[in-house]
Amino acid sequence: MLFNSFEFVLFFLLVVGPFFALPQAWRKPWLLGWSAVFYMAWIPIAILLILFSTTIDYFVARALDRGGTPARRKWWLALSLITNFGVLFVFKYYDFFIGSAASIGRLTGVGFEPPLLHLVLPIGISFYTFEAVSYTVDVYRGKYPAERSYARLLLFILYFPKLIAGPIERAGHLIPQLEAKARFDYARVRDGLVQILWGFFKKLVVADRLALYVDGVYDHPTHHVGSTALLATVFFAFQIYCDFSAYSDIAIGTARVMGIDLLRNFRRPYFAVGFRDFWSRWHITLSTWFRDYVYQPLGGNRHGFWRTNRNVLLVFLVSGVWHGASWTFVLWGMAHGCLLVSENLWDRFVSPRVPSRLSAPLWLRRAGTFAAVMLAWVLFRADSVGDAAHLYAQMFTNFDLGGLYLGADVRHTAYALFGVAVVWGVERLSEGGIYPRLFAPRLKPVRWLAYASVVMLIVLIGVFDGGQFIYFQF
Amino acid sequence: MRRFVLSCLAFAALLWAADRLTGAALDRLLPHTTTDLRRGMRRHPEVAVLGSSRALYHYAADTLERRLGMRAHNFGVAGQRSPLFHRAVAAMLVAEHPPRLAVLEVDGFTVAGDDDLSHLSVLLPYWRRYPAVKDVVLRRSRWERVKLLSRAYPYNSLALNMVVQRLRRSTDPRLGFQALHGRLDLRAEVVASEVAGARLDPLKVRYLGCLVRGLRAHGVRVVAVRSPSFPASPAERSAADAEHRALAGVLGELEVPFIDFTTADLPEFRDPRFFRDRAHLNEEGATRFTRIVADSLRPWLAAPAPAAAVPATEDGACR
Repeated sequence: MLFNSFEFVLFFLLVVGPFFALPQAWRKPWLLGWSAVFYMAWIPIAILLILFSTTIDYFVARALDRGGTPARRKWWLALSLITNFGVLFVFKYYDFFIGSAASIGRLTGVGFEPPLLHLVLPIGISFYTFEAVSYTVDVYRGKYPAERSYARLLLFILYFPKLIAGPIERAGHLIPQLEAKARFDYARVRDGLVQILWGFFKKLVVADRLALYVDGVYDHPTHHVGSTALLATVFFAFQIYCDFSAYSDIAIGTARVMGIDLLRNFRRPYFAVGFRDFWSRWHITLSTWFRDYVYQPLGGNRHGFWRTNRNVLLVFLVSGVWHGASWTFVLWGMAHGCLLVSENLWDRFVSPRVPSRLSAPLWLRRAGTFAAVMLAWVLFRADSVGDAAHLYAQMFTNFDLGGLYLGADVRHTAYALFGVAVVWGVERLSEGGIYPRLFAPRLKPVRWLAYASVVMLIVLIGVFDGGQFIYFQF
Repeated sequence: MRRFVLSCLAFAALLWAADRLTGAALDRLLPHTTTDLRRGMRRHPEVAVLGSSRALYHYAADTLERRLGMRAHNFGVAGQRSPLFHRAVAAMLVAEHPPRLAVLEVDGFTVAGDDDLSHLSVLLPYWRRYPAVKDVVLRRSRWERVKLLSRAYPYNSLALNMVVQRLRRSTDPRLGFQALHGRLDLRAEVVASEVAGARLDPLKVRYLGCLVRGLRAHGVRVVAVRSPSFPASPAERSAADAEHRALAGVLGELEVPFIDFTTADLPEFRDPRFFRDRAHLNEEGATRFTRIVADSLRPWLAAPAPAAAVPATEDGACR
């Protein structure tokens, strides 16, 4: 069930409508049941994987909570990690790694053809696996007590707004909220609905409209000159931001209506100054997950400058692999790792020697950050490393502004640019608020006019035949 | 909670009013723009060309008009290969003023292959007025009825164009025809033509039948034409031949005369100077082609009008 579908609107009304009328004791079973229905709308049997992982994690956490020797506790933790990552590996990475090994084997003359599984990737598996792992690791570290209720733990994993593409929640943040008695709060419900509306705008008006151009170029990279490749990449930068942040907005808004605050996932990332800043604004719940469960266990920044940078590179390598079983994602992760390491090197060796009056103005540093992030998106979006290399080559050796392609229908491009301008302007004015200030004037008629304008823009220029959210594939 | 429910109702009323106002304004604007499919119908053309981009760019309606000495209009719309679309336009055409002759530009996708039904959205502004259009647009998605509760939604993706056209006071001097400029560059042109395949799509065949019967029910002669493509590789030629056989079979059953310029292999259309790309003629090619096709159409114009054998269904549904 896609968030950008009428099925979801009906589902939302069906689940959220009676929610506040239900006695408190019935609310968790209600949410659990509907969350299962939501997930099973894709491939019903895939829920068995969630049940399997959650059951193992439930018993492992109980065992960890009971104490025992450090070695025994490590064994329990290892069982949970092997189970969660094992399932993820088999479904997402087995074919990639085995296929790559076979390719390397063929190149080196060791010919072998291992069997590939060709399994369908269960939707949301990367997200719920990370949530499950964070739960057992938090229990292991003593940051969160093991759940006594299996249903409560299952609801933490299955809670439908964030199940498919995050935000990646932590047990200590979400479970107490699921337990608390949510009262109907006019302001919260309104805020939630407005955030959902803004999410729909970003998805239907901007992301899906940009996709029409981006797909046209990236599906046939050899047909286009460098100026077109660059424009498509700039568009993709906005497409993926609007697509993914729209999902997060709809998820967070839906939960907010039910009285639950999900973790924030984006904070105007393209206004970042520097790559550390970018990653503190982009997919925040993933960045903090890697910080807490990969970077810090590797030593973080506690063992000197060079080991810190090694850890950064490793984290971004893993982050690339997390995004997808393909060399393009691996290279994308490594590219971001290299950007961060370069920034660290600059800050340590160059910046102290440059007089402050010579340092670049804020807008230039912001533009430079955007340009580097945008160029890295080529690796993320291209279907293969070869395609990415071709697009880079076109951008830098065959720019040919005269050959710029404006799209099969220039209207789509015009609408998309309008949508980007609205999102950029609104975000510029929002100054990091929960949702755009456009929707928060004190005067009710002005506020309502803003809501109604957004709805009418969706009706008039939204793409209603668009596809799924990009991050569903992860 | 009560306050929330009242707010929701008040906001719904505001939205309803905004939607009605926007829809009504766009309804009034539509006839003044070249987006309006009925624009050409108001001229009561005697020869109407229906089809996709290959109709739009290939039939110079002004040339056709001069050559035949009767009013002509090109109703081709780029991207509209499906007979569902043509059936809807034909139904609008006969409801406004039936022409003497309808030229249906066909290709493999007329009877086979996959089509993106989202392209049918250009018909949405007319769904209330013409039952056959409603029948077609409801096939776009199962939620189309819900979407059509909005008065503004039929203008989704059209509104900006309409406003720009109105501001520019766009005119249509070439009677629907749009000329393509430039020449086919055989070195640069690497895109293989799309092939529909020879496997018939029952829905398309059904709608093609409804289209033909609907026109004939109003005394309109129907001729199917497949305009030239640039000679391609042997594999593409073979695919084109297979499509020809599929088209000829279906059109034969419907007793529709079929002139295929793709397989005719005319020397005029073996020259890349007359093409913009492999599938489309440029302006020079289109003018030449129109002269040839006009001469081919004369016998059919002279033929007696078909008897209205099968009346159109009142609800516009194609069964």
